[in-house]
Amino acid sequence: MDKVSAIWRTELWHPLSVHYPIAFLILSTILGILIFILGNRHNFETRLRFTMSLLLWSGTLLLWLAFYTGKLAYSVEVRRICDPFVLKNHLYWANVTSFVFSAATITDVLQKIAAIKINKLLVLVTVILMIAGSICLGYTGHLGASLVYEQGAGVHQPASDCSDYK
Amino acid sequence: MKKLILTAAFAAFSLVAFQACNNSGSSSAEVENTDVVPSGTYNGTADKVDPDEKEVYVKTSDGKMLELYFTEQTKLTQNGQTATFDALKEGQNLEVTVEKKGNRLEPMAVNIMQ
Repeated sequence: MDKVSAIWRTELWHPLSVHYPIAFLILSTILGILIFILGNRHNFETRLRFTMSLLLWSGTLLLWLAFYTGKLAYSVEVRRICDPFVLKNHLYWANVTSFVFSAATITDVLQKIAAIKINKLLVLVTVILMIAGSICLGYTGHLGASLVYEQGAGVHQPASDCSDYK
Repeated sequence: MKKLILTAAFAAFSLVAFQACNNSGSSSAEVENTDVVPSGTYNGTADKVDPDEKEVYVKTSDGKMLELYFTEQTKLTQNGQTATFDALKEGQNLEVTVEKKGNRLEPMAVNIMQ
């Protein structure tokens, strides 16, 4: 087994890139919920609003990057896993998740521009979209885990006598 | 500075939206409701050919839609000669030998009949 070239297998770029947006977006959703519930008590909103937006914006961009690397991995894995329908579902829900978080990001950007009167409504819309996106993200992750742990996607499987392992 | 950040954010998301719309309208859009059949040889027509994915959808004579991703093992022939994937066109009559592996159909041999 060529260990150096194995690192650069196309299907491995996806797991390399996908965990950052998961962490960023889940954390931004938690912050969004806290900001909405607690409001500006103890300057909470003022202090954490920037962090939430930063995580949401960067997480969404990284999510699209992960979607792109996922499309590359798809072409490889669809030829060797046992159930391509799980892979197709994973791709579908990843697409839904990306669009929902993109919509949340757009409403968050609009908040920075919009008048104060509709600001509360936009906060609510953003938080609802982030919660919906996180639910989709969780299901997408579940399907991704199923691909890896049940079907061995992205996993090198040596020969039964390990003859290809040096 | 604030205007610059907002402009950059809008530019980034416009690009993302454009890319997303471009993806959904691409020729590689998936066909829904494909079928899984037992291992064997089937006759049908090439309903859709995707050269980028090296993928062909075959509509069999009994109305099943088979989604076949070519692998290194797939032998493609035309008039008894080995052919490249470029030879596959939509509407051609095909004879495909597939092996069912789980819920996946692996094309072992594809013969272009016309």
